[in-house]
Amino acid sequence: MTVANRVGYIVKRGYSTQRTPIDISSNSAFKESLASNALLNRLYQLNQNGKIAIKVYSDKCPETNLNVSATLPVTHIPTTKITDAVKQDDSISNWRKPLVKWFRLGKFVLGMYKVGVKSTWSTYFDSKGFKYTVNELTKLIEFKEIESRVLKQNKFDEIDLTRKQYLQWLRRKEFWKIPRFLIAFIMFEEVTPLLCYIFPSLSPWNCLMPGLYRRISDSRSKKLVDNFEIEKSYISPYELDKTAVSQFLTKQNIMPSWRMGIYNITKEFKIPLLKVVETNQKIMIDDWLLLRELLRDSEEPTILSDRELVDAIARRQLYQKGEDLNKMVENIEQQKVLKLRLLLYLSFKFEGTVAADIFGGKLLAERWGVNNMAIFNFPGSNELLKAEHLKNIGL
Amino acid sequence: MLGFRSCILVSSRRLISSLANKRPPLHEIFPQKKMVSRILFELDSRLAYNKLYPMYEKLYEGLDTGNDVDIPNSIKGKDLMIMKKVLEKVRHKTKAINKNLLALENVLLDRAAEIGDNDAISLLCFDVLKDPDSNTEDDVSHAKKLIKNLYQMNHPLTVKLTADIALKNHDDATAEVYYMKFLDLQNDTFLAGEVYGQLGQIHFRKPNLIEAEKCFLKSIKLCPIDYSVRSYFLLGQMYVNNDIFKARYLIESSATQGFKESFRTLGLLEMNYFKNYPKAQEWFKLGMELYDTECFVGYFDCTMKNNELLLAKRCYESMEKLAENNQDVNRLFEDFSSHRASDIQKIKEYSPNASINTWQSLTPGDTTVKVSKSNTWNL
Repeated sequence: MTVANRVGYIVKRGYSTQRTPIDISSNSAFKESLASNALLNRLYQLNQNGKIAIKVYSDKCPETNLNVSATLPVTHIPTTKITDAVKQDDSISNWRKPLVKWFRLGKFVLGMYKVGVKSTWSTYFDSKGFKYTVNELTKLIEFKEIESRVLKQNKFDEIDLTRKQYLQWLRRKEFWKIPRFLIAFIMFEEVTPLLCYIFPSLSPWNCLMPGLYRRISDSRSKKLVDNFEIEKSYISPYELDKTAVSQFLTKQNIMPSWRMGIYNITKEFKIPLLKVVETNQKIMIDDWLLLRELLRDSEEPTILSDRELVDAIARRQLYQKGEDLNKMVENIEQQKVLKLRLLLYLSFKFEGTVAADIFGGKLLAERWGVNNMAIFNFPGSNELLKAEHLKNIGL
Repeated sequence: MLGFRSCILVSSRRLISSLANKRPPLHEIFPQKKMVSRILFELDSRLAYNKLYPMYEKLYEGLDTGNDVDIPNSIKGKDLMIMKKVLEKVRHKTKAINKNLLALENVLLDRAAEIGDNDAISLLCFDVLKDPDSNTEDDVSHAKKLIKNLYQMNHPLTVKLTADIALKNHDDATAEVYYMKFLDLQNDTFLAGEVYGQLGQIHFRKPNLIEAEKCFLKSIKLCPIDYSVRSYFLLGQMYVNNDIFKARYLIESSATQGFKESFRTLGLLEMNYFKNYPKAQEWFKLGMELYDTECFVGYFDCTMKNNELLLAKRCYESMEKLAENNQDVNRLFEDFSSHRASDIQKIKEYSPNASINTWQSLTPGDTTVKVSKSNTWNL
């Protein structure tokens, strides 16, 4: 055991770790949280100094290591812009204007489908060389964290991976929807958008109409663990309520409902629980890569696209049922809310860990325990941040 | 009369002591033919059991007489080394040392060296160098000379043993260089498996965990489990946070070889992660048999979870006894007592006979209804 102890590898697990969520109920409470949470303080300062920016996706995706916006659905259709353009165009006679407006909207949707299919196609082939699995990546990150901690130097850069590459790999399976979608398009032509509206999973994810997003996010809002309790800060995947697991996996489209039905009947939950663990690990890797990008010392601000922000919030379930994330990201104040939700979530989860640039810190598994479901998709604050809380946090 | 009796007593004592010192016949202590044949097959021996056993017997008899036994020309130094390895493997597998078989092993090594087997010479030379104080200067210098010659010949075992000595002196860098040199000479043998295991530990200490993982995997592939148990355990530890099923399998494998630390780790895994308290309790129980203090704590927690108060009480009492005699355990015991004060109070109040007493008070002896054997179910 001397070997293991020397590296500090035999971990004293954090099953009994007690952590208080960030308090956003008042200004003074938030200041206390800022003082006690170094990572929150750092991210807050970066945000205040404009180092974390959200860019609205226009024609070109911001070419950074953070975003692969083309693989995500558009956040809005510029209906007003098109309508105004048609209204102000004197060359179109009045009786033709409604027809032209619908034609242009249809053209926009077709263009969206075209771009969507093209980028899904290219993402599949671009990410073909991706050499890791989820387990391997989790392992690699942990190894590099241990090495950084023992050697007191940054070893993270030895991981030859950017968030962009990781997200491309995560989203590459959408490629297999293309044949089905194209057949539907050839068969039903102009009715295809209507079909996609009724069956959103028919089209690749980046061809999803913005209006449908809320419907999907509402159906996926049910959490595995409702509340984080300080007294029970470690919940093993094997402790989870099996009905909640079943609902979560089917609603999140991780497992088909017929298959989940079989597991429910047989009461055999090993595979569903493995899926939950895998989902947790996927999010953990994304969190880690995102945090590394945010904490990178650079003069240039870190730019996150609006689509990526919406996707990050949705996948981490940092929203309430009824919230339209696409609409929120269009509004400047609501966009701030979404960004801060993400920062609070990361600050709570990674405070005191090696990932937060603290070489004397703990590994995520040491701090929270292995695959801790108590912090899976927990917003990090005592209540979900809303616009009315912004004044409490000095914004 | 008294003189005669005392004379008989003394002579019988002498007889007993002489019998005790006398070596038992080889067939009584020698492992089963089936086992030896299997090991010979594993070692890719040129000669079969029937050819080798008479040689074992001859050399064994020679231990008492002290005469040099003639070794036929058909038996080479390599065969003698295989004979030695057979006994070594048996010792490893049974985890028991028989002093007579150990003496036979040493004779085999000496004779192999005399015949000129390089492995035997190398082993004997390194034995001298490991403990130079108990050997003469001439022996030490001669051993050094021989090792130098063998090293110049790129003899693999010499390279490995040089690395082992460097590792023993905590010189990881030199050890790594020699181990790498060994792997250049041979990298797919049983010995290479051991070397990979050692290299893995060196990388683990650095730490260069990706390399460590590769080395441990190769060690497991090349070595039987009883020789690579540490590689199994450390690899399991490396996978605990990212691939828990693989980790559990590896640590369970190390537990099959009685690796002490594995019981505690498995117990904690089952208790905290898989929430399988009966299984965790079994692992902790095995660890308790090896006096692993943390296993006592784990066992106590499991019994409290399973509401087995009697077992918890017994565990607590055992810990109390251990703490009385050991300072380290005492410190842990104090921590344990302060953290689980309510549970300890509960088991202190618990009396195993309480339920029986209550039952007896409820059913006075004279009013009990006797049920005949034919009507056991009182129908």
